[in-house]
Amino acid sequence: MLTHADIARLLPHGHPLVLVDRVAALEPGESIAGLKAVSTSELCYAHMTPGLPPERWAYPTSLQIESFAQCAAILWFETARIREVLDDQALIALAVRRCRFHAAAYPGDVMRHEARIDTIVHDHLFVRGETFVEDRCIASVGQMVAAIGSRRTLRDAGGTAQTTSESEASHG
Amino acid sequence: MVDRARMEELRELVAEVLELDPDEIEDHADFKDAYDVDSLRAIEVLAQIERRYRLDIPQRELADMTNLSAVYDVVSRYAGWPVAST
Repeated sequence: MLTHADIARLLPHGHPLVLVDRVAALEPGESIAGLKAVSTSELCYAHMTPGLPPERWAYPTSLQIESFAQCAAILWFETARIREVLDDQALIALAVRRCRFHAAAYPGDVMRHEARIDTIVHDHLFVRGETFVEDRCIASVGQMVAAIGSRRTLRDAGGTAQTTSESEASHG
Repeated sequence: MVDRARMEELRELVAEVLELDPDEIEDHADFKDAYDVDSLRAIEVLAQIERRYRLDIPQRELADMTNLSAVYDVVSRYAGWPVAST
């Protein structure tokens, strides 16, 4: 299990872009279960007005996938730490495929992302998994692909992975 | 001599990654020209092959894996399958 202090140390993101609250289970090289509580205090709800229909309060699926991806990134960083590979690892999400949304998460829900490493091939991480609210599977990710590199290399290559934008460019 | 059953397995695997029907994947059709395969799709094909057959194929081989027949040739060298004569 990882606390939010651990997560804040692992992910290059800063507040308010860290979308994982706690890691409930982690097996480096294999799988992770990460928790994210949905709250009306989040930025995505900042401009909501009274009178909107209930479905408008559904947590944005884009942020839900980002939250899932951050769990996958934590899994990779912990895997890399155990394997003693580069200590300035960075991930760039390349593709999310075969994504299915079955239901939405709403304020008050706790999403549980269960992500598993499918394979790691030539500096590419392949992950799949599901997102649950309580016992209900609300989404599945058939495949997420991320390129593994070093932060320094990414900076040299693209020039975009620096300071604040680094958190957007180098997450999983 | 090509192992047709293995070739059909590869056709299905490639089709799954490219999100196409297996019948659409011709033996010698160039992946890039015919199916718009980019470097990401190519690495996904390689990843699926390595996973399915538990092989370790060097990334440099990707340059030669430009059509299904060529994929068979590369995989056969690492998996010990019969090598295509054409």
